[in-house]
Amino acid sequence: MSQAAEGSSGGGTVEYIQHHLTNLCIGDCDPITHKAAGFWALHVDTVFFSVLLGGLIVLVSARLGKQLTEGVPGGFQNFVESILDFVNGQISDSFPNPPKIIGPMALTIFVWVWLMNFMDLIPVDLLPVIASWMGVSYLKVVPTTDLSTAFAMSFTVFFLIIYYNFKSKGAVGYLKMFLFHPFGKFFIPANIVMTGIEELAKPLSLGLRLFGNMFAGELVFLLIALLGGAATLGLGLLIWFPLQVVLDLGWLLFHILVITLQAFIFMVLTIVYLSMAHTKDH
Amino acid sequence: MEKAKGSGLLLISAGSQLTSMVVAGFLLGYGVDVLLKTQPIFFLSFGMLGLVGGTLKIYRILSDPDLQ
Amino acid sequence: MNITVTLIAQMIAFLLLIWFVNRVLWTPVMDLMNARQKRIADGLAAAEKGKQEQADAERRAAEMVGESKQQAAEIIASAQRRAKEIEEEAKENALADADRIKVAAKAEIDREVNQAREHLRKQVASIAIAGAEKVLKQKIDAKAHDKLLSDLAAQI
Repeated sequence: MSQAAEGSSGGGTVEYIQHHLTNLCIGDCDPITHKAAGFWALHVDTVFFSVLLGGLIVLVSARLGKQLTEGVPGGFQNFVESILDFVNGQISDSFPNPPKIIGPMALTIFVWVWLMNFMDLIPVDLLPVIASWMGVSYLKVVPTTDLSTAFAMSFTVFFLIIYYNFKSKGAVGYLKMFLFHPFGKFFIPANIVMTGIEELAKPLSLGLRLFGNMFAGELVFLLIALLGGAATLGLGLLIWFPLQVVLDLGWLLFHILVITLQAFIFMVLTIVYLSMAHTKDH
Repeated sequence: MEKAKGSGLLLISAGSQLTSMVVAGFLLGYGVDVLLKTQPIFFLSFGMLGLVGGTLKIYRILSDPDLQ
Repeated sequence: MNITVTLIAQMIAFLLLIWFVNRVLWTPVMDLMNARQKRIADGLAAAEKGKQEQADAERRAAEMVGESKQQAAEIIASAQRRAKEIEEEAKENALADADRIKVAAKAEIDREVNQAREHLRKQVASIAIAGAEKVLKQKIDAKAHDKLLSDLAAQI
């Protein structure tokens, strides 16, 4: 599954990992570490892969849209319909009458996050090596291991939470929730801070969970890849190589579960948070 | 008090709720500190509040999933 | 700093993707599924209606059969009644006829008996006269004794 490490940087293990976890950055970047140095730094690889996968979703569904039949659905349509049905079931479980945007958003989150997580299953060195042949020295393949991607989604959700809180509770109701929520009316300053923390914790926990899981998964893949790289020559290879294959396969299978679970959790929590924002009282 | 039906799914988030609330507390405190130039005061106190609130929240989620 | 302009870019990408997914995937497929659901529900309702109608028709047919059976039975019963009436009438007529004939016959018999008796009486009277003539050896003036003779005949 994974190539040995010598393809890209060749240096020590730390350097190898560092290199793999560095985005292709343009704009306001540190020239030496190649990390983002200021706000105006764009991670091209993250944007590229996520847009690519988003484009894939749109393309596939547009092609599917041309051959939709109302009769007995064929294989792929059936599959898509069951996904939609599943997402819709999750929504109608939590919402009495969901607003229109929830459906497409939950579906987008589920499928997009899953696809971006899926990039994790591609052998860690494959795409960076190909990229290095084309003269791109840094490439981080999995968009969800970039905090920006996770937070982009979770903060969009956060804005929607605020919007629906205002819409369903009204400005006064929302303010009341901030003033009186966890401890009653005698602890108003603490309540404000607490509710603020609580609300802020929602997108943070959403984004951090996804980012953390994917980052850790990627790191484990890198470490497994290093096993083979550490002993490229001699007898050691005979021991390390089978171990690496077994470990990689095991982690791969486990990771399929993890990426699906993470996509599902992100979607479900989005739905639950929005449904909580959508209720009248708090 | 009508609650969303799927709130039981919040149990999923119980694990990371505590951490993210502490982080959220620190972040909020840091922001207030930067605004008021009172360096470590709000940072620490909000962090503590986040810890307390997170623990409470976890306790509440686990004891009654319907009451968020 | 990990929060960079990438975040903004990803947000825009996310929102665009939501818009596209809604346009291309969610709305058409959802509409389709709803339409299919509606069609199935309609089909089921139609089937239910058809069943109902069939049951109605069956019930109506059974009603009609029952009605006609009853009518037939009524017709048969009235016919039987009529037949009995006719029989009865005929019997009565026959009896009356028989009675009448009997009475007429009796009258005839009586008349003939009376006639015979008259005849006999007359003969007896003439025989008696003849006898008496013989006895008396004389002619009795029939004319003279006419009264006597008719009295005698009346007595016989």
